Amino acid sequence: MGPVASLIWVIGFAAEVYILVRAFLRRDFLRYLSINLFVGALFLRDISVFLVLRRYGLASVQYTYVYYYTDALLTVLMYLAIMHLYSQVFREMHLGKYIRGVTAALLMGTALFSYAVVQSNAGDLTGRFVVELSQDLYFVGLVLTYLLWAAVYKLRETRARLVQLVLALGIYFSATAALYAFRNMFGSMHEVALYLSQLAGSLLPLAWAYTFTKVPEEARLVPARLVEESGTNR
Amino acid sequence: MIAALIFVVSVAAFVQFFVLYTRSVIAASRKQALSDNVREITGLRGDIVEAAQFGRLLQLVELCPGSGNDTMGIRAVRAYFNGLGLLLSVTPRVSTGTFAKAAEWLNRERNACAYFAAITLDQRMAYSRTLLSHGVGA
Repeated sequence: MGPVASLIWVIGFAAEVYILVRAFLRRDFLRYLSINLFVGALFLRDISVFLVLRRYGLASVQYTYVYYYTDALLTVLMYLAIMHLYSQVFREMHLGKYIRGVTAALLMGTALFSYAVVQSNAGDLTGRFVVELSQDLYFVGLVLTYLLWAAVYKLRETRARLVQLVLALGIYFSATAALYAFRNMFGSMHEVALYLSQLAGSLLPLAWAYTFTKVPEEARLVPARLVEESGTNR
Repeated sequence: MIAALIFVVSVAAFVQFFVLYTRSVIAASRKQALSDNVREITGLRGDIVEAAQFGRLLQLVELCPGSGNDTMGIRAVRAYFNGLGLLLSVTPRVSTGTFAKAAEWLNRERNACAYFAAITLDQRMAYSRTLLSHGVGA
């Protein structure tokens, strides 16, 4: 890992630690349970990837497998975080049961679709499967986040913290889905995609750390104003 | 084919989410008024901060110690400001029509970025004053 990649990794890792410690100290852990669980998993994943990297090196099969398989597992946890945000947005409409059902069905459908796509191709099945699966999982995550943003917009959700959490999630899913697709199209540029994936991966904990610190729980924001033409400076 | 489609859709969604996220960061600063202190130091007058001041304000922000929790916002706004500048540079200079409206919008957005930088400087100065007063009191 080069100095820039190491710096990106350290910044992202520090943001994860910050979010977890802050949630514990402020007794906010349960309020954003799925988000905190995801950040906790991210923290554990970073440590395990780092240990494998140190022991086996960046070019090793072990590193590649740990990186991509933990990434696929993290995406599943990320779906839980999206579900949590959906339930927050629709909390007054009592649609939690349906949201959980749809998300679980989407998750299983995506895994089956990815498996079917790869099974039709010969070669290294497991290695290709994990890249294909991650690309599809992230893309479904992006679609779910986009629909969530549409719900936030249409239902005139004004909780600034919630709005920023959703938008940060959108940035992360879209960037990562694009990078996996890029990696699928141009396998030879694997290292560039990996480097950019690290950058995208550290953006999410940083953006969430910013939101939890700078945006108070009671802050309000009108999402329509973000979409419409802005007014003057103030 | 599927990968190419996912790539194109994801890049388009990324641009949209990034712009919305940055505008949500800037929106919070719009609600705050600039203090007399920051006006005195920067020489700013009125409620509008011109885009041309953005670079100088960010330099002052970097000189002023902060708690570090505003870094993500500053980076996002800086990237947004640069992106807007790029778009502005390729927008034809005309006085009426769609391009004129687009240029006007881009300038307003860049002014909002500059206002965000001024508010960030204000917050950092307040943070430094607090640190200093604790240091003197200790």
